[in-house]
Amino acid sequence: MKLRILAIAAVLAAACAALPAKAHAQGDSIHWISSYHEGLEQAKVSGKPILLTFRCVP
Amino acid sequence: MACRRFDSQVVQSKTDTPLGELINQYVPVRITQMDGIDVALYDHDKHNALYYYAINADEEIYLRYGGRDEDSPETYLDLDSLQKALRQGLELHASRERGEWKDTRVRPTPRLPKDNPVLFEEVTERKRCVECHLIADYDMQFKREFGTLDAIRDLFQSPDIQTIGIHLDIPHGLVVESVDGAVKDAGMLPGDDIVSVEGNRVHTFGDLQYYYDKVDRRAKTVRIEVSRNGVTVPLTVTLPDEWWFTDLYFRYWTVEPVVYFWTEPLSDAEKQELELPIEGFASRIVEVDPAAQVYNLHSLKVDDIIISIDGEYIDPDTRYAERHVQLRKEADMGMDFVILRDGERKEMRVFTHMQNFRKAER
Repeated sequence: MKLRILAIAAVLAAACAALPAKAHAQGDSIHWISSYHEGLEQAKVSGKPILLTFRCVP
Repeated sequence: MACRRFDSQVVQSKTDTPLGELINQYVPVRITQMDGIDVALYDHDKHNALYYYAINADEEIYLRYGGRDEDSPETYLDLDSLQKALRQGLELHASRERGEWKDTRVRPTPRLPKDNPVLFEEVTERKRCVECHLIADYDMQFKREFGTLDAIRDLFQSPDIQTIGIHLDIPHGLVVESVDGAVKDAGMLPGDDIVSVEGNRVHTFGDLQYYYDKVDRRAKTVRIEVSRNGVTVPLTVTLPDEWWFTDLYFRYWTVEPVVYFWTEPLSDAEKQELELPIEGFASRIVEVDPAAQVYNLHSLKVDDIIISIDGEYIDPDTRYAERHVQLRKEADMGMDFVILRDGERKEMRVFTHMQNFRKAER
């Protein structure tokens, strides 16, 4: 019985590992950086441009 | 709150949506207070509660997205045009990486909000949040205090492109939907795609409004280029009188002096009949705000004709009496008006007003 449970668990674990990584990334929220200088640093490292939003909330 | 819905749609977009996919190709940065921001570089009209830039790591600006008109801060905010702008930003970045795009703008001397001594005293030292509107408010106060105010530019910011007849197909960015007035006379057509203003490349309404605002207020023409069927067509647009005028109501906590009356200029024939200079600002009052009585500023009435103010009949920049006051006078100031009421000439003392909200007492 114990062996059967372990075998089923192993099969399930293998099945999960085989899932494409993209399935976890779909529908993710955008991670907005709140520091201007951190944004510049990330852009330097990644080579991406920056979308800079100024949101004035009185 | 204006712009809230648009802002939330952008901020909360998911990576598996067209908008989210585009944003994900950028480093997305969201600034809600302006401490430490170079406001000389990011010198958009601070009366916009929401504004975007596409830039690179060297702080070179590819394009701006945002801007408003008198009616609403949301007129030109559109998810389709934002996506178009984001794609354009990515193309410009790629062309820069290939060495094909260069920033031709001369970078201004950096300036932080706290470099304005009025703002420093009222906001920074008191550890208040530096909001965009406060920068606009205190910049105006600083300029007045130190005598650097250029009223025709600083009060009447972001002239409306509709004044010269440009009506955009907003979801499609700078594609023209319809034309009338000055641009129609210059040959602009529906379907044209605006590409430059006074030689400055524009990609979005934000760019267009930014460079249009730079036009000398006393200019007689503006150069606009459009793309039409793949061909660039240069247009020289003759600017109408007072093309720069904008309704100041949504800025009223910032701009001074406040005058609580509105006029329409007399016709040339009326001026001639009254033996007044044709080029003068003789105007008939069409509306009076009751606040004028509340603040004890004046007793002007609808249909009064303003003939002169402090002995002046002519202003080279305007034919409207209240605009003459806004351009030439200070807040909390008394002036000597000569008016016609029911055919009788009268003299009247009139005062301007200062809005005190958010104003530093100096």
